Amino acid sequence: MIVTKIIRLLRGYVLFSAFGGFNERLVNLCVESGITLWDVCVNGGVVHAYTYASDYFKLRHAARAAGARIKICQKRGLGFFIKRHRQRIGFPVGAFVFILLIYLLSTMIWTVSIEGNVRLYEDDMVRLLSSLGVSPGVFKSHIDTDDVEQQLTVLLEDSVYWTSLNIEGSCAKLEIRELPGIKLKQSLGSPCNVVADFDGVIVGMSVLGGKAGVKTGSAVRRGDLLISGVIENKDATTSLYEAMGEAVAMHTREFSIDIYGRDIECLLTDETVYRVGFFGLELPLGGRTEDGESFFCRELRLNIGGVELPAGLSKIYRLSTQPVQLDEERLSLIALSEFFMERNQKFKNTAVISQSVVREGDKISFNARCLDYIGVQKEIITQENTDISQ
Amino acid sequence: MGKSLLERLGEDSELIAEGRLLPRVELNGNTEAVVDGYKSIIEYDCAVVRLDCGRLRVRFCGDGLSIRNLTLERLAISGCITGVDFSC
Repeated sequence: MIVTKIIRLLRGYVLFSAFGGFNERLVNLCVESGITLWDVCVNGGVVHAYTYASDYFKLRHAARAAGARIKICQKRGLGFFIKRHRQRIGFPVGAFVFILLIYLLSTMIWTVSIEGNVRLYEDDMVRLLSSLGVSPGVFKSHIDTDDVEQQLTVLLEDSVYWTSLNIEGSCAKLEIRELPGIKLKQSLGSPCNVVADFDGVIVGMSVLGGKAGVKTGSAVRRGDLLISGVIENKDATTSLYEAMGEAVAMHTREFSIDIYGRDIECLLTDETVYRVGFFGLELPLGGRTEDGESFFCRELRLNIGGVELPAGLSKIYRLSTQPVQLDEERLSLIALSEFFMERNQKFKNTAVISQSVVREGDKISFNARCLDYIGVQKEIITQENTDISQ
Repeated sequence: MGKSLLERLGEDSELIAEGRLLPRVELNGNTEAVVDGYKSIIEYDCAVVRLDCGRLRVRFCGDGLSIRNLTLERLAISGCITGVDFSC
């Protein structure tokens, strides 16, 4: 039915009314003449019906033969629309530009999404993909997905063992699988044990190779055996394997920050600059940003059904640095953020479950209970190993 | 040379026997009727549509009747159909 409507709109049709004469004869003559009629109805002796614009001229002969007078009530369709707006050159130009834009935009990447990341930050991955040439505004034909996948595998070999870049419509979707806590790719490949890297209490274990040496809830010290690579056989002999697995332990971490000289703070000023972003392009809306100035940028992206579009508005605040006497609460917050920054850099797999903050003079100390991957592989020294090293 | 009356009657009787000369009337509830094999419209207004279907005449009575699709052999009547009469 929709197809019929589209065809009718493209061909153009009219709603006409016929007065006087014989209704039945008019309809019969139309059918005999091959004139297409639809939605024929009679109201008070007046026939209303639709016909194609091209058939309307033939209809006049049939109307004359039936003794009826016909009159057009409505004209619909592409031909009439174009004729009505033929003086407005903007319409065809706009339609052409619209079609061109739709075509062009459909050949570009609109959004980049990351799936399967647990420890890796999505922003970092998006930035990495951007450096490899996959970002909003890039033509899809310019992206070699196999090449990008290979480069990603090389760049992230420490943390990722599988990547897949798929271009679905206008969305570049990167799927990754991260390596488990103990990096299997960097495994020794020779008989080894998994031992504790620091003091702590085991809260979870997953043995992939070898035999568990401790149970959940056990307290371990640095160097204690967690997973053994030495397996005793039934015939009382022993075999050496590469012990592999994950062990998570709870432990305490202390961290202190010197707050001496922290009396300078960045403040957001009322001076703001707006920028319109569109496919990576940023167009300033008044105001200037000069080199050397500090800014804080807040992005408002267009969002349809949870999908962020590569268009939006950026509000840029100028930052002013001025000496401000910081209160204790603010100092604690700064110290806490520094703690988290350092922690994120050094201990990517750490989860803080509780923390306490103590200020002692110019120092702020943190005492945090964390969950960490505790196991590291340690080679089993055998006669064979010793001979090879010698 | 044209066919004789007897021959034509013979052909008609065969067609009637096959059911090809009779119109095909399809009713969808009481809101739509499709007539296949009609010859012409005899009477038409918003309450009555009377069709000549060769050996048969069909009258549709109702309210707000309109002819939605119209071709040489088929038409569709829509509206509130209250009766179909073959004895007209």
